[in-house]
Amino acid sequence: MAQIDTSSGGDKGKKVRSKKASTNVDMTPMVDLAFLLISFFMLTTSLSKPVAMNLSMPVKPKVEDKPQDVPESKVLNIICDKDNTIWYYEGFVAAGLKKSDYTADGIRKVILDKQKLVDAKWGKDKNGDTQTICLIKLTDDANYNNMVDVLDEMDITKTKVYAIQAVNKLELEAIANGGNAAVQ
Amino acid sequence: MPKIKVPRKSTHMDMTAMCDVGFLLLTFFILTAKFRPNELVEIVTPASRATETVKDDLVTITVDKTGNVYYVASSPRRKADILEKMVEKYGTKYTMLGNMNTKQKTQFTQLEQIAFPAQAIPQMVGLKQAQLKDMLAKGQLSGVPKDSTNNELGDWVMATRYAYGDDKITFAIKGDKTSNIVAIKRVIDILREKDVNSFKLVTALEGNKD
Repeated sequence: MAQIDTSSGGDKGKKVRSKKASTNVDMTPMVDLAFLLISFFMLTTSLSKPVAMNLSMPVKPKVEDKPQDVPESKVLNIICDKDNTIWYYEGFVAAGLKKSDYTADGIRKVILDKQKLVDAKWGKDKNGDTQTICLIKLTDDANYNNMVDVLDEMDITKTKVYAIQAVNKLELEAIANGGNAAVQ
Repeated sequence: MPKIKVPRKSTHMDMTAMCDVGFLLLTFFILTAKFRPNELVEIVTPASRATETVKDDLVTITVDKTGNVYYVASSPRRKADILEKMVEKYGTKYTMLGNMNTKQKTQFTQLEQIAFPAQAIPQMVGLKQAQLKDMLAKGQLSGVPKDSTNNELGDWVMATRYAYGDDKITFAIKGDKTSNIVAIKRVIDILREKDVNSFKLVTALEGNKD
């Protein structure tokens, strides 16, 4: 690399040798440039790879189909409401709704607690999964982010049985009433 | 005692190899980088834990912030087939659609997305993406109709299913973080009406949220 050619010189009077130019080129600046460009492109590219989550909805029920019987004690209802709030209650009766949010201490803890109760009563299913059934309901004020977040929680808590359902009137009344069942 | 001479070594290194590696990496990253497709609407997808990367042959139904729906079919060949089916259905109702010429049909296959009612296809196919964006900014594009009285989205889904025949077809819903859930629910309902019960939700890879 750019060494000084020391082979020439020496005694005078001998044959005049043409200087052999070194074929080595100093690559350092070129390397600098290459890595500079790499770092530049790596830092300016935004890594936004889209991914997809699967969502399977049940087949639309036919009239002659009987609804499946579900034990009430397995059911946890999760209702997404406006401003990133969640209401939840257990069982089928929309009463005593409690508020929660999307943090790890919020709805995730609720689901995990419910799973413990269900596991204690019903045990795990044959695949070793919890038998908890989550019914996800989205009010018209919720946004799409809420839906994805809740579906994510299903994945995190390994809840295998969940369904997206319509909110019913009693639940809406209970929410309007601050969680308590509406006075009949 | 004579001093032991430590031979002086040159501090120069041969950088050629390093240079090779540097440019190899550079070339690799540049060639593997993919350009983001020129999308009509800016969609900020919600983040999720899902890790399955999106394949290219999805049929995407985009729902923007205002609840408008855009339909994106995948390859040009499919688009041509889908258009045929739509013309079959609406050709007599909207005569301009029925009388589309070959050039218009080719233009249709190059559309990035369908952002207008079927009736407007003949006028819209000639427009460039920039013009469409301009129209969108002015609020002149209302997306694909999805009301129960004029459920064109359902027809597109049906036409797509006919066009694909026995081939596997994957529908995806791409919604904005702030999209109202009503529009998303409506799209899911339409898909279910057309017996598409399993589909994908396009999301972004989640950072370290927890």
